[in-house]
Amino acid sequence: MSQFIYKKPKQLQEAFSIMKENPAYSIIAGGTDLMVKMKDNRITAKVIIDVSELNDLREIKEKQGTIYLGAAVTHTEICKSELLRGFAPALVHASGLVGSPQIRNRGTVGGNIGNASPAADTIPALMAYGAEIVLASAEGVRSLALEDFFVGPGRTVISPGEVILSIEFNKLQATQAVSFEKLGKRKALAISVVNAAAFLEIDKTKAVVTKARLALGSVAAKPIRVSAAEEALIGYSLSDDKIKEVAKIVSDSITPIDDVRSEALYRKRIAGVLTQRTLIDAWKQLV
Amino acid sequence: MEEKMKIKFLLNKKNIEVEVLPNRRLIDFLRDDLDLIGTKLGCGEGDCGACTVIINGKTANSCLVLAPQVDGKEVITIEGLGDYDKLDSLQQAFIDEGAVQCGFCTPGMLLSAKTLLDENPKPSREEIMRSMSGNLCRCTGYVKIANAIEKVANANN
Repeated sequence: MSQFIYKKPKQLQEAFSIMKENPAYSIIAGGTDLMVKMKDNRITAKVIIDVSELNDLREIKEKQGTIYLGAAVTHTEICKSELLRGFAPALVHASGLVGSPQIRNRGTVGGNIGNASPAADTIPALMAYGAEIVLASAEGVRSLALEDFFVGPGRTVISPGEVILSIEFNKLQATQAVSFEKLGKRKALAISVVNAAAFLEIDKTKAVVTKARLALGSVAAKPIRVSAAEEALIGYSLSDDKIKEVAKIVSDSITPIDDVRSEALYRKRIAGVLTQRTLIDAWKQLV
Repeated sequence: MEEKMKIKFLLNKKNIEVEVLPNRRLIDFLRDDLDLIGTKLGCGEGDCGACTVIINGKTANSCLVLAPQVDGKEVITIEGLGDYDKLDSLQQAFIDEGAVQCGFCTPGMLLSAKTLLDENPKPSREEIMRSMSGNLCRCTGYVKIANAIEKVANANN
């Protein structure tokens, strides 16, 4: 591991000053991704800034129908949060499938997003909830749709001097549901071969879909939404034929790769299967 | 630039004040600086769980923690669970049930089991299996380890 100075600011503003004075910094919270990269000297920062206990990044709260999730909230804390268990169960499910208990005790949602792995489990779930990511810097805050945050594997649009402050999304209404599914090589401690999340909003009287979001991970260079598949759902009830049609659109429109965990062809098939499973599950929650 | 920094924390119920290099991993700090070699270094990437310690009541892979990050925290290693004269009930159960073969995963397994039973004194078999999901064992097939944990859980009222 390279040499560096370790700083643990008590306030966000202090973190911004440290970043300004030390351009060659890296941010650490749980360290579950960063430490591996530092061990292999893939990251050689001169200053490591620990944001794991900044109060602004530690909150889970609800305000006027919006859920506010601080970036330094751990997966274990997500799993235990009554608020999230009630209003974002698919996120709780996704966080509960990240790594191992040890990883979930330290790994944070902001870290899972900032690490920008195409296979990250919380990202498709949060994209299905329609989440926005809030970035903070000395100049102020900006927010963008979560799917617009990623550029490619490990690369995001975050600027020097910015930290991920929070993730925000609306509480689900009675007409809305989200489902998340992951396939790994084993049941525990596995990086996803493919993961998928589906959001459905229905017109309860007509039992047809009025709004849909389908998000998938590990099927492209970054977590993606499949808008063609989403559009194909609008105005329809979820018949067997419709589910198959949508799953096929997903399989046909993604561009996965062969890698150590799986092969492109298998990923295309599994993406379709997981799309079917999440759609059926979300639909069952509603009708 | 590589200056040591002073950290204070509670290690196995004792207050510790010590100087450490900022880029020291907790696992190396425990084993090489403090001679607490019960904690094992396996994969160094958070996959195997051999380096599991308890930080503020929660298990963590000590290979993925920087030593300065435990400043102000409470850390328990396998040396803090019990000793030769007075074993923890989990340690005794591991012996009685034959849950130890090569022993490399055992310290981590015991600490994961300890936090499980602290949080949930009467876990189901399924909960016991899940609690081990961050600790790899290549010898036992996990059954005897689960039996040992279950034995202690059954003794809990």
